[in-house]
Amino acid sequence: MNEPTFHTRRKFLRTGVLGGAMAWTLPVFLEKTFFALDASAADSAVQTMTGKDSPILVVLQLAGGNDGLNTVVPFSDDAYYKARPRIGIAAGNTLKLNDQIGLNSRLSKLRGLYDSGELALIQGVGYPNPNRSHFRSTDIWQTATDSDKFDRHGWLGRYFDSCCGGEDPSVGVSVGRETPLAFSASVPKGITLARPEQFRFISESASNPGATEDLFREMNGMDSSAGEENSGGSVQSLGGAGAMVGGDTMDYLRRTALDAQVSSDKILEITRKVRSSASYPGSQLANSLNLVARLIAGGMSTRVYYVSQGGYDTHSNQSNSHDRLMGDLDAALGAFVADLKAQGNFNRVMVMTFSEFGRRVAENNSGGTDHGAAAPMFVLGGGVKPGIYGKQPSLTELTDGDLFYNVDFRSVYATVLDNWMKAPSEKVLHRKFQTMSFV
Amino acid sequence: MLKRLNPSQWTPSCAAHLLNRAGFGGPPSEVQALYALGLNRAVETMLSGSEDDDMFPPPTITEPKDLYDEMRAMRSMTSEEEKRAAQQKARREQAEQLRATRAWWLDRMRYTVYPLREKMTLFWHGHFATGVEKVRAAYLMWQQNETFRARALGSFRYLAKEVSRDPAMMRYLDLQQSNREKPNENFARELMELFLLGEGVRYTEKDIKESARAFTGYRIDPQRGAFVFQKQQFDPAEKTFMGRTGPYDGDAIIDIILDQPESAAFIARKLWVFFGSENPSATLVQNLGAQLRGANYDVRSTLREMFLSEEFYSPRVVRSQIKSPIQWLVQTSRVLEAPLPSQQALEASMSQLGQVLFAPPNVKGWEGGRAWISSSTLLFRYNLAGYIVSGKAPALDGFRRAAGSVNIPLEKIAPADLRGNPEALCDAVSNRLLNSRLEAAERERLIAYLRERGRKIDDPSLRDFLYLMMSTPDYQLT
Repeated sequence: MNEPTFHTRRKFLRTGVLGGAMAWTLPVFLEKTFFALDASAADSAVQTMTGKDSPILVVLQLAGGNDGLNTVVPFSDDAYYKARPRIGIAAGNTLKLNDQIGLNSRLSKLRGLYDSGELALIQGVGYPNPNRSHFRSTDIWQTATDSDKFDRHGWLGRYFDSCCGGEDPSVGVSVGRETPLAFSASVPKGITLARPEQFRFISESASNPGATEDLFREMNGMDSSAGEENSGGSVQSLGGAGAMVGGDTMDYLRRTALDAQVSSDKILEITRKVRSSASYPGSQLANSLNLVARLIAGGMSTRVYYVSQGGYDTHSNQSNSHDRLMGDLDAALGAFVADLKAQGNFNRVMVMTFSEFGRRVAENNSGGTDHGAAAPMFVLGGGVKPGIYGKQPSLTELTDGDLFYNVDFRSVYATVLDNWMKAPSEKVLHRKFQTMSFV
Repeated sequence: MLKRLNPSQWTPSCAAHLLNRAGFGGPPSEVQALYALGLNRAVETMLSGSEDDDMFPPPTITEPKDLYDEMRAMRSMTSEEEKRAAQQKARREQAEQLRATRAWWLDRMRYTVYPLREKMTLFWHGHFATGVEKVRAAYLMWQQNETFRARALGSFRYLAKEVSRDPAMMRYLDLQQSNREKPNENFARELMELFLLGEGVRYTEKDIKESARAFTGYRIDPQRGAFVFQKQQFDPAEKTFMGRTGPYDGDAIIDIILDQPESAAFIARKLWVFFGSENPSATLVQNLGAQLRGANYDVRSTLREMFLSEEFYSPRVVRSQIKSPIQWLVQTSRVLEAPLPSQQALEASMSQLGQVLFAPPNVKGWEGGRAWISSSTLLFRYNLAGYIVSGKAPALDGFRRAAGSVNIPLEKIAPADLRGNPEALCDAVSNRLLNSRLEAAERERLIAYLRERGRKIDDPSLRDFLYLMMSTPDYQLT
């Protein structure tokens, strides 16, 4: 083994760039992990110091199917009011962007970002042969596949696979309970946490908490005072001839346990130390974005954050509920942007919203809207070329009552990947999609 | 035929493995009892549990007729407010009934004397994945579950046909909306791609279209929640399907598909992956498929073949499987001889761990294997273990409301004579929880940990010890 490399790794592990008490007498698979970690830790150290050279993407999911037509209102089109006699929003009640469209009146912060040149609006985003199932359509957005194709891996997971060669587990952080399909990768990376305080091994030992936690760490590959003997399978089968069992599966479990623990330590440390530089409203989305802002401020090497806001499945009496959602979205994003600006990180961050589909043009009999197809997306951040992209789909030439898309969402992804993340989109999306000019 | 295990190779850990995979595991006493039967009788016991021994009163669910009346009453309401209130009430009741149905099923898995039947019911639920978010009726989900249970180890041919007439499935894949003018292809496509053959195997887009016409006229009687055949909606004309032509109906299509050897291999492979290991060899799949086909799709005989095979007890299979969340929950209760956690805790756990019964992620079912484990679900498994053995609730919504802790019979797990004997205690606990012995170094370390706790291991230390052993990668395997 090359001595200087070993020295570096030791130093790295000792100084604990990625967390607390790490050991360097490691089982084989950990050796592999940390060789790679070493390389990515160098990156992450640079990132933290300069704070400027690594772009960050925040994906914000509006779950349930956001009503695009009441988000960006085509007030100059009579067809809009004809289709929506009850829930249509009057022209005077919108925040006009030009003489044709206006934002929902609750989106005042977004309107401000539009005015200050930090927001791009992309109209009419969708995909061919739209699926109107929440789940299926969400999967399509998350895997970036054609609507009749399945993929086990998500588009962000494929980005991790092809562009984040290091082994830093926190290259992707999803705030929530479940790992989004978008993160699914052939070499799993990315961590998922609902609240940082839960993202840890809760040692509740009554008699001897320290010893229990130490042994826990040891058994999960976090410490090696048990020595080299610990390598290989720790459990042997009685049924077989004592061969190592689990094999790769055991490696995978240990690695995940280690990833969880490493990132848990770091995330807990950051969230204990870093306070927000802006005041956030109390919504769940605001809490999620607050956490993201603190992790960014704390120097996480994370490239992609994933947050979501639910409740958009507005089948009935949607006027009030949709306005409230818009208000929550606007307030949370407003606080997040203010926070990032105060930190000096706004230029590193790009937020992209998406929803699995828009809603039907015509309102239904319950004062709501049913599942639809194309809808607008917002992209905001210091690196955005502001403006309105794509075009408002016709409200009269419909497909099954729904808007026809004119921008494939994968063109938006491709733009973000190529021009913002500096990642080859063709490799990630398995096809060349035309890029746009919003970055 | 697969090579059989020589009965002389039958050991207690083979018995534990059989109990884990064909069921949800069990405490040392059950393992011992199964071992004592010998290989052949042990396998027959797993295969032949009696329904009559298993009494689980069904959950309370609004019957279709009453639900139908409720809906009609709602429709005729003139006041929007009244209507909304009624809708909300109905939604709440359905959600509550669904939770009760989940609890009922988990209870069956925990206490049944016929665990293989519940395990197969879970297999079929994942195979013919149907999600309540679209079906929107607890009764229909329960009814489908009972169909899976009744046909659990029977003829796959028969089950496939029944599933095509199952109201929950019909709703889930839009079969009840399909008619001769506009045949809906959703079911026909999944039938071949996911249920009977595998993607792109032997069929074309044209076959999907043709077979969709055969599955027309399938309707649900809303007052009975039952299948009815509506002849006027059925397309009786000839269909050309997989090279054959005739005025086929849905059953005939299923028979034609099952005539393909690939179909038997597809099901056999899926059974092996679920019960055995993730990457069976092509030869094994071929042999098992031939067996299934030769037995006219009798599932019980294929399971027997698997459970008697040498391969099933090989190191490639034993303790190589990541427990599904449901397996983790039920097996944990069984090996600890403890009740299941409360309904609220179970609900929160299923959702945090990524396997909510009656709500598979999509029609493909749960991916399984490594997909069960993320940094977040793994930490949650650890913390859930802490909750179960020590009653300390994770700071999570479902747990804050969860009533009380789980009552663990510590005196059974570690009787008085083991409390002063760290070596014996360590071996007993690892045998109970992992069905295997620990590697020497790890065993030494755990024994040292116990020694540090004093001459006699008290209950709090024992809880810590259980918690520790369950908060390991090892415990996630079975």
